[in-house]
Amino acid sequence: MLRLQFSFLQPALLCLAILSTSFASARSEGGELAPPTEQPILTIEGNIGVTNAEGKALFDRPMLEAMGMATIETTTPWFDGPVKFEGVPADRIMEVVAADGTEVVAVALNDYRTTIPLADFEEHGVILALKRGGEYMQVSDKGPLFIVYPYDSDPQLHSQQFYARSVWQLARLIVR
Amino acid sequence: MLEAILIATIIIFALAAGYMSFLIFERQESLSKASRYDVSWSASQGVNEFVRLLQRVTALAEEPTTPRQEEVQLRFDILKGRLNLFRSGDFERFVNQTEERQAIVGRLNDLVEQLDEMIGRVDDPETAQRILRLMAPLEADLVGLASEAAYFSSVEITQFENELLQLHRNFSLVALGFFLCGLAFIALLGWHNRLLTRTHLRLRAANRDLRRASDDLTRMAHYDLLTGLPNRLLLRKHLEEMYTSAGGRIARGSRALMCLDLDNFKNVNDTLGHPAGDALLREVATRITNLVSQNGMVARLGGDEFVIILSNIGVEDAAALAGSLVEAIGKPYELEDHQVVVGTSIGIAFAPDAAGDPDSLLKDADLALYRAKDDGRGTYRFFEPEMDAQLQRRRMLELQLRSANFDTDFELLFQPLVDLQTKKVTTIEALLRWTSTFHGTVAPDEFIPIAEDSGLIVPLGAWVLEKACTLASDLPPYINVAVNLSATQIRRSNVVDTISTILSETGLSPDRLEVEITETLLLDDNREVNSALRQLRALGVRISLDDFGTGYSSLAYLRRFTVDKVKIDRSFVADIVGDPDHLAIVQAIVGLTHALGMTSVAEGLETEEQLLLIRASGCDEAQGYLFSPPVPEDEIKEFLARRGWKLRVA
Repeated sequence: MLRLQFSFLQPALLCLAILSTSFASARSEGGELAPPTEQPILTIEGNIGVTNAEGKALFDRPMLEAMGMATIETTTPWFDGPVKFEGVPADRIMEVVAADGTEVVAVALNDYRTTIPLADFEEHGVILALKRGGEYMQVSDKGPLFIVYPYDSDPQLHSQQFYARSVWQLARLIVR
Repeated sequence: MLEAILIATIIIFALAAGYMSFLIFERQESLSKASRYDVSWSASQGVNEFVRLLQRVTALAEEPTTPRQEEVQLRFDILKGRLNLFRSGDFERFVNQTEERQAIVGRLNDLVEQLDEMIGRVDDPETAQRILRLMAPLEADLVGLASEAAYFSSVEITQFENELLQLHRNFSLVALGFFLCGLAFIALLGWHNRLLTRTHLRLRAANRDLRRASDDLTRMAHYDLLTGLPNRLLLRKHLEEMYTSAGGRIARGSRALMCLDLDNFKNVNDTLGHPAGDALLREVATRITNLVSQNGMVARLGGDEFVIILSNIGVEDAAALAGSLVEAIGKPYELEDHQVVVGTSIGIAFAPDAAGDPDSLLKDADLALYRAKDDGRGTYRFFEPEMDAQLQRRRMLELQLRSANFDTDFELLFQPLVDLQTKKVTTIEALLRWTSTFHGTVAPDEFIPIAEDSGLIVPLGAWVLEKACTLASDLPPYINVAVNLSATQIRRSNVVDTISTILSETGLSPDRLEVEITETLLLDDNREVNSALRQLRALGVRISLDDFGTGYSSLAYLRRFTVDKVKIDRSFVADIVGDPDHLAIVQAIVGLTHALGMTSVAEGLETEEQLLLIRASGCDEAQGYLFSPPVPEDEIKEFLARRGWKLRVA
């Protein structure tokens, strides 16, 4: 059910991939994150080391996609049957912004907010999904970003605790 | 039964545990249902999102700007998402409960569809006003829906709570069941343990009985039942231990072994019966034990044989003890109104200092015992190495006897028996002589027992019979031939067949053959011997009783078994001159034989005086050096010819 695109790669290779993509697009100006060229869909603030706005890191869709996409195919409580999500691994985004903290507050467009331990991202391979079933998710369909856990990989993920952390219509992440 | 209950308890235990785990799972399910993302929350979110869209549109209508338009678009998309949620999952179930709720969601749906088409033109105030008018009536509907959802959720929560309560009750009941099961289990185990303990005790008792029986058996295996003394087996163990514990180094003179044998015990058994014999043995055992009580072990080997092991004893002490034993055992016994006297002979051997073994020690003591018996009984003898030499000689003789050629190594001598009335020779007795290549002349007293023990007596006896009968067939018909027959010869071979064959081969008339047997042969009361003798008599062969008066001369067997001749032992004849008792005995025997229709013969006649007295006693025949010593075949023939079958006697 679950498929992580990079799961088979060595960590070193992974780093190399990140570096190369960063150099190619995002980090064109020596350590500074390039500003978004399109409408930003994600804002990261709080204890981060890399910004491209006033204490914030703003990301548009191409910037996120340039980081490399991962796929999770899993059953969820919100849809019938297994669903394929594609998006950016959350821990990679945290690396890009040089996040320094223990938890992240995720805020949705409707101002729903929840707190997620930072460790979750790496431990469970959480992605910020952009696509569902190969299509970009609209705001009316839990888009533009949806925090997705690979629920089928671990029975404990099929619980209220992790469903509550699965924020849809995600707009902001605050690192603490 | 108990096992079944125990197993049942364990099964109930297992079932209870299973049910318990099922309950826990159920509870978990229930709890997770209760905490599910609930309808009430979704409805209130919906109201919020609706109101926020309303506000944004109102703001845009007042002052149309691009950011505001984008904000309206976003809020609308969010409301669209909410509508999707209202039409799926738990919320849909809630909506479908009443038509009113369905109608509200239907109107929201219609609104969203209408707005979808109009929202692109929301910067136009006219359109914005239209949107506000379309939205206004639905606000109250949505708030109402949210209230109902809140109530719906609270009902669900109560329901979950009840479910949980019920589960908790079941859980408690099962726990109580667990507790009771545990109690029952403990009780059953206790009961089981008690049964086990009882069985264990019973087993222990059985074990004790078994051990006791085993001890008895061991005792029976090691002790003589009659006297209670250790038996041969225990004696042997004791001797072996003595040798192994001493490491083969037993100081000479420190340990001695005595072999003890009652003289003529058999006679007691024969005349007074076995119970008396047993009583005698018990009394003998007591007398021995009383004397040997300390530093000694007394064992009974069987029959009238006893063995005593003595430790820390010197030669003098051993001699003193043996003397005391002979004396004590020799005292009269009171048995069933009879006074009985038995003698005893003792052989003593000391454990050699090295390379000894129980067998040779026993053998040495036994040799000494035989010496004591040979030396006239009622005494004791120490083992001496030459006794062993005698044994060696006996073995050598046996070997030579086995390889002997009868015709060259053996010779038959003949001694005449003379009729005291007619002075004629009536019979010649055949006597066997052996000249061994290595040992020279060997006395019959020495080699006959060896021949008997080795079974060589059978062919040797047949050879004698044949030679004697062959000679006799050459002699005048009024001269008989007498041949000695040993008990072994009768027991070990079919002597009747042998004799009848020889008689027919030599053509000798059976009534010319006399077989001489000893008293002891009759004493044995052996069926084979009796039957053989009767058959011989039936053939016509005559039977003589040799050495009469020396053994246990019972008149009973004279009556039981008819013999033709009684030969009075030479010891009576030797002392007949000057001893009136012996003369009386001879006269009595002669009188008895005449009364029974038998012929009497005096043996060992050497002097004229003896002849006179014997003749006066009425004795029929006599034999001895006075007439002729035993002589070879040629000489006896010559003797018979010269004397004209007659003797010139005074």
